[in-house]
Amino acid sequence: MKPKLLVVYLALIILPLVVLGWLGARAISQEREMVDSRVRGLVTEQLRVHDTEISSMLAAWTQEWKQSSWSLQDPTLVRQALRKDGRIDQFFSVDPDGILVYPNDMAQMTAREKEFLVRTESVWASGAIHPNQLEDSDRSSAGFKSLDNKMPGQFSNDGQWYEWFWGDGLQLMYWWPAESGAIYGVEINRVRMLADIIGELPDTPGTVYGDNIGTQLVDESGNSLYQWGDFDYDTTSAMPTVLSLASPLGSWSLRGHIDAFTGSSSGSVLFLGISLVSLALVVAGLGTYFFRENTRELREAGQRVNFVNHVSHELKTPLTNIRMYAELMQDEMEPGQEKAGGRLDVILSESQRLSRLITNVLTFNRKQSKGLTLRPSMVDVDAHLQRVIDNFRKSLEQHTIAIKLDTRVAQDVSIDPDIVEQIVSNLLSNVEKYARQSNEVIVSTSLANGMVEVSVKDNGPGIPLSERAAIFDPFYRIQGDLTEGVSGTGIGLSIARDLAQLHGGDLTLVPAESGAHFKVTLAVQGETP
Amino acid sequence: MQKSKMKKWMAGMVAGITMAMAPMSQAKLVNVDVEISNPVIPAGKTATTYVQISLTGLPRPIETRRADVNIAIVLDKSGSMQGQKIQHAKQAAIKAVNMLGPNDIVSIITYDTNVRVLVPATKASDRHNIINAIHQIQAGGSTALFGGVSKGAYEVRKFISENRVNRVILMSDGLANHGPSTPGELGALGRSLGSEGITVSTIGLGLDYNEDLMTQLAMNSDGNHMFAETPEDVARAFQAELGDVLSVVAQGVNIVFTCPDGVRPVRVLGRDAEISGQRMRLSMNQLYTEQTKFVILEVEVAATAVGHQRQVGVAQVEYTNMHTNSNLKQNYAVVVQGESSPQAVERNINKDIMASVIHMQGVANNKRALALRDEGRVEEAKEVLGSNVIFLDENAARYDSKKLKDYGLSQKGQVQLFDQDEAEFKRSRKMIKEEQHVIETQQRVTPKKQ
Repeated sequence: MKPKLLVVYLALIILPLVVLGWLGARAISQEREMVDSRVRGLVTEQLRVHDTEISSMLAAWTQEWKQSSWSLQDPTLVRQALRKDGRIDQFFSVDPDGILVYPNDMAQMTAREKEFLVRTESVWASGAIHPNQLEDSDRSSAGFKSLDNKMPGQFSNDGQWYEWFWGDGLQLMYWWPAESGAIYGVEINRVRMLADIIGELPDTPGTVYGDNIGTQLVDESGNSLYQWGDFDYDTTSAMPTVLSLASPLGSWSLRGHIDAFTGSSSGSVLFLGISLVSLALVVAGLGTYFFRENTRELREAGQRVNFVNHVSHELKTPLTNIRMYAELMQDEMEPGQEKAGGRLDVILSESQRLSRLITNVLTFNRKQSKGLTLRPSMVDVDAHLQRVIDNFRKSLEQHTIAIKLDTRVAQDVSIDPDIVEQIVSNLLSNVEKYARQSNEVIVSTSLANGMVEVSVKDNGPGIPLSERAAIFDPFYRIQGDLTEGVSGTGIGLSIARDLAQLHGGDLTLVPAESGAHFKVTLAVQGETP
Repeated sequence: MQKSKMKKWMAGMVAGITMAMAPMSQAKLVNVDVEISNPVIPAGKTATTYVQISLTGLPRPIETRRADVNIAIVLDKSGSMQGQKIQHAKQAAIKAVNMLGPNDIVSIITYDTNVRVLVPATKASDRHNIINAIHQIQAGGSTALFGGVSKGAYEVRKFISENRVNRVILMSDGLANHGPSTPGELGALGRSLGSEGITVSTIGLGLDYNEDLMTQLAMNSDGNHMFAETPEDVARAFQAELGDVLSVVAQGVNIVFTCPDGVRPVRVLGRDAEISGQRMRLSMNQLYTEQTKFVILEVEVAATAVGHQRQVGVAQVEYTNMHTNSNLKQNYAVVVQGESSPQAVERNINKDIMASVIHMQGVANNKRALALRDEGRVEEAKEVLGSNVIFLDENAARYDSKKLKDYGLSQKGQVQLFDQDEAEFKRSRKMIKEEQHVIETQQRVTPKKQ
């Protein structure tokens, strides 16, 4: 009983905690998701600002180049312009037929220009930089987009990016339409472009913020080119917010790393933790209180039962003496002493009732402590029942109830006589108490298939249909006219059935048109010593 | 007869030089000399000869003010800088800041994994705050060298001017490991910045930096490179660098050498040049007082008849005078004369120029030897060094040159160094790279504690 109770109490404490914890965790994870998406939104916005900075820088560059005067007639002037502009590796021009016209004078070419031709050979072979590509890309958005805002009919002022991979990785060219259908273009110095982008991007101003936000500029092969912010990339593995840069640097990206849950949400986790712990404490406290109360009551009840048991045992001896001496006195009665004899009868029947009560209490206690055992012996059931009935005859006759015995066993069988007596006594006691209107009670015995069957039938008020199942429950007493003014413990039928079942049989209520009809079956026990 | 011919040649040479435009009337700050190694060439056959254009910064007149400088000091504060190194670097940077005047502009950038613009480009008048900021630097993290240089260049660019000495001073003790990290990439950045007029000088501290990257970055932007082996050397390196920065007399030096038909420009020794048809062009970002920088052009002269003069070319030298902020342009012509007598040819050789030519060729041989050793071909490398020693020794005697003799000795010493294991050679390689850089760019030699 106790360990089971402990489990129940633990379950009572743990279950609500688990449910609450789960709900809390769910709430927090939802909050996290919300915060996460909000933070990611903010980070993306921030990354977009940087992306715009980079785009604006490149747009300013291209504007500058487009507005420069490139005098193809004098390559030395072109070279002079290039010397001053470290952002450009090479200038080139393509004629309206798509033929590279600068640099192409092998005799006058510098080593740098020759290298340019070698490295861009595939570009010219592909025909991607061709005057007709300008119009094409204007109609369809395929290919390489321009950074400039296109105005209708103004594409003559428009330029385009060309991306290709060579050497260290992504290489860029920018080209735009020049006079008379030709194209001018420049090849960007990749390293310098990166250096200037880094110049535009923020630096890391010490660790004063401690906001755990880090941003990386990542190239086409996933290498970090530059990073800023106070973020430990080695220990935090949260998914970064990734924003691809605008064309022409679409293969590069900005990655915002943020440990979003260190700030706001750790608060709610802490809050949940604290509330769970305090709730656990409250529930555990309550549980412990009730558990202690309950065990105390159980202990007290146990003590009471023990006490009753003890007292019952103590009562048994004086009661037996009272009965014995009363019976002796009855035997020694002289004629003419009928008045005293009548009083002795009362003493005897009351002491018998008391002893049945005590027997019932002791039996009940033994049953509770699993201490009931069967003690069978060879018994003449009919004779034995006759004696039991005789004990009741007088008091029944006082209530004008005739008692009839119909015996059909007619042989000795191995049976526990005490159990038979206790069961039948309980049944007759009930008749005496609740069926006083009955005019007779018939006790009949029979033996069939190794079972002794005893039936007790009265024609009193009987048992209401609705109560029939409950009457065998311990301490159950029918509420109503039937039990009005009658004392009882409510354990009689319960004990009777338990004893019958202990004896391999049963006690059942037989449906009857009137009165109550109980049937007891008891299994005849095997060979007895 | 010999004498009269000599006179004739002399007359020819003088005629050539007087073709130069008269120098401007302003205070002269740069002395330009354009000379040829062989004023007399063997007649009747094509001859290879060298033109040396040397520019010497003259001492600054006392009444003139030095040029304002615009520098970014980029300090490596990665984990390996911890302890002594960072302390000395900080002290050196503070010393450098203290050398600046109120009109100079300075920015301080530190980098580890991240880059921090500790002091954005600002006038050095607020020295106190700048020095305070430097004091707070603490070492830790990895090496985002590229980002550091990028930010340094960005800060310099804020106040970039032809009238200022625009410079990034990079100090690093480690391998760049975040962002672009190859010598090629940093070299490309150096060239790009150099073309803008931003010079990057590099100070390598200790034995773990990438000397190829650091020298290439400096070389391509016409900056200095210094190997500071110990933390104490950093102060000396900074001092030397600041000494140069504060003594700039000319900037934006642009040299164009145009050859007439019959003369073919071949190459420029030791420096990056642009050769297009009959023109050779190259630039230097700055000239310092009391220091000579030169370029040597190799040309091939077509067969010239005896006694016949041929113009080898005209050198146009252009630069910005940093005291008057005016642009100066001067032309210098050089001629050769054909002669049949080998003795006459030999006698007229300009030994100084030839010594410089051999010096440059010696460096080229040295580079070849180092490349072989880098490939693990130690024996071949030593052979190249060995023949370089002989080459230098022979020419030292022929041209009576001390610098060739010294370099020959240095090469002889390197033969043993090439046998060192990789750990020991780390130091030697840095010294060799520094030496190559110093010779090729005629950098002032930084005194070292030995």
